[in-house]
Amino acid sequence: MELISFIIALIFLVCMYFVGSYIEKLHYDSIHEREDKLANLPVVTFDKSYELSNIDKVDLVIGSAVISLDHFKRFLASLQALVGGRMSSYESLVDRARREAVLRMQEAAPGAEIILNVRIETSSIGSTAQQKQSVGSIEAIAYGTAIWK
Amino acid sequence: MMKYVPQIKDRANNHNVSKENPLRALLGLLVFISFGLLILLTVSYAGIEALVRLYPSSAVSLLTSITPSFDSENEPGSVEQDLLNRLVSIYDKMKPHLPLEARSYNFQVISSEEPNAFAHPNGTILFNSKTGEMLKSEIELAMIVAHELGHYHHEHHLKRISRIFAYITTSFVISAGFSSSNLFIDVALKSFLFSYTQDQEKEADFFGLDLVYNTYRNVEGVTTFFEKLSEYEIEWISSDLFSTHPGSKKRVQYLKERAGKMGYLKARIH
Repeated sequence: MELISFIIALIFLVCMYFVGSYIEKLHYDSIHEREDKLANLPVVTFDKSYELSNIDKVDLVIGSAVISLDHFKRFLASLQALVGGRMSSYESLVDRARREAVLRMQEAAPGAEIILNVRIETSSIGSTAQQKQSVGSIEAIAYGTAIWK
Repeated sequence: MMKYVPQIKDRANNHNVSKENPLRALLGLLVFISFGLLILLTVSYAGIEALVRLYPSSAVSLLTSITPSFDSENEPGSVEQDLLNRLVSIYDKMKPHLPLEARSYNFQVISSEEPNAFAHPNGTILFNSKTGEMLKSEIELAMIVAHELGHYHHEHHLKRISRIFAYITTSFVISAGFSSSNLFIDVALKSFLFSYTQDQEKEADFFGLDLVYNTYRNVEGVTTFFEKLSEYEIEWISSDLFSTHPGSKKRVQYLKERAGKMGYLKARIH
């Protein structure tokens, strides 16, 4: 039975590598396309240097995204966690979540002139009590003040 | 007044994401970790092996204490009691032919639908009732008794201690650091450790064959149990790599070869 478990787990791991890579590529394609569309909406971290005159509307805008690791990357991460060093398998996860959250925040402010005082936060969610060491999914939340003129 | 100029992003060079191929990263890590585990296994194995050789009786006591023991009482006239009587009778016949040190053995029968037998380090030989149901002739059953006695003769329990503890130590380290990957490491470890126990099983099989021949001058039926077991095994699944025991077909084959080589086949082997 162990041989069967091993073979199934190995096939599953290989399949998840291709599935995960494909889904990641699709997501990056979507991110790139939307970043191009929203390139003219400034997203900045400062809040005091902006000229606050002739303002039509101000509103808090929030974008959040939850992205999960695929099985292959989770397996790779568990090996990397054992020896330490750079957790390359988490890097694209965090990058995608952060950029997706910023894009959603921008999309929540259609027609805005600028989004000021932007902050980005991340948190790990989806880890079960039995797997506290592993990261299930990551949530990134981006928020700021949108200005309409 | 500041001026906002949209950035043209260099997408080929995302500095936040590693460009390392994940498959290459995985391969590198597997090589590195395997090397580390090999060192850990070797050190723990060599250390415990040295202790076992220095204090063999303490090692047996320790092994006995950590192995679950059984103390069953069978109903008179039950299937289990009937099998127990057969086992004791077989053992009595074998006794004069045993090349063993002075040691007492105790037989126990457990009600179970799984055909199996087990030699406990404390000298108790456990039989599942299903084994008796499957093996009707005396020699068929005698082969299994002799096989278990072979484990005592070759002191396999003592020889396994180092491997078992090396496995436990390494598994402990792995479970401390791994989550989803432990199945792969566990299987790799077991394949390393179990190749050794398969040799021991073969050694016990040969001892059993010799003992049966010396007792009965007949080896007809010694392979019956394994032939029946092989009917339940799907060939590609019953891989030797991940099992404590050799495949049943393989056992039948080497027992027949051994019987031929030793001249036991003058008495026909089934």
